[in-house]
Amino acid sequence: MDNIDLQILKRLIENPTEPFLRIAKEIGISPITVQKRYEKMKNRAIYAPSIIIDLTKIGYQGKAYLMVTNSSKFDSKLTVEALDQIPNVFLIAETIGKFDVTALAVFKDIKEIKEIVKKLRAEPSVKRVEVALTDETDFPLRREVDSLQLFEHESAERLMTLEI
Amino acid sequence: MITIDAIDKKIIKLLLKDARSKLSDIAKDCGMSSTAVKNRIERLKQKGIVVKETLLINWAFFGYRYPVTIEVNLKPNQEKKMCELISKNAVMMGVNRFIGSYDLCFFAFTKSIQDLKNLKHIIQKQNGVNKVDIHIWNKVSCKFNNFIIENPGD
Repeated sequence: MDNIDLQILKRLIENPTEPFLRIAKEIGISPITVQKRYEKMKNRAIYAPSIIIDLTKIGYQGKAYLMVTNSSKFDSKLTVEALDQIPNVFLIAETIGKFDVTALAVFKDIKEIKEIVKKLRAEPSVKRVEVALTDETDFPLRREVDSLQLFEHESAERLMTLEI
Repeated sequence: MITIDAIDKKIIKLLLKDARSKLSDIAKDCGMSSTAVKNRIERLKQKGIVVKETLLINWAFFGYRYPVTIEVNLKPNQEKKMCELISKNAVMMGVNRFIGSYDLCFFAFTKSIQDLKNLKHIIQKQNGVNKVDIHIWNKVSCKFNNFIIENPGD
């Protein structure tokens, strides 16, 4: 990574679909160089350019944060596998802290979330499930606070201060 | 009510995976013309289904190796201040307001356990914080691609 990579990255943070031609012009290098550097950064510095979708528009009311305490008699892998079977669950992590496994799920209504929790509690590897709900429907994550879009801006600023 | 069909769903999934996908590639996958795909994407944006594009950065590559969730319980009107505080001291990926024992849940990255410890102290010292819990993520699996996209009433 060098300064040119960082400049490309910064522009992509601000506009993930900005054409390479325009980035090239702005930075003063050839579009092919931009393309090559982008390809090189992908799967390394960049996971992917993605989109944020609004869940309410596709039938979901919100997201649930499932915090699971694993039974000491079973491997937490079993809990992860059980969560993996639930189609609403889109993110699972084994965590170190108060809870052993946490997951995020989307839900259409409260009934649906009740079903998910019921299913989880029936698992022998699950000792306890705590749930927190949000009616915020940005998927996967909300990236602004009180219309303050600080994430993109902060990320770009932070990148520019990194020593590489 | 907005209805989206199987092709819209496919387009959404492809864009979640790579928002820079070439129109011609999406078109090929969906068996339609590039113009038709372009129009559909425009419509998805116009209807507010696709809110915006976002670049997912691998912060571990830059030394931020610890993905964490920070759950806080706050006194009223402290949310914005807390967001600013955390984004100053860690790389913030996102935040959600929750109903339950926590008010806000942050998804963030820190460079080291030491940084995380410092961050916890900074949060605890902040006025208006009732409770803070931190979870370090280990073995994360995302299923954005399998995620079932449905219409209301499907």
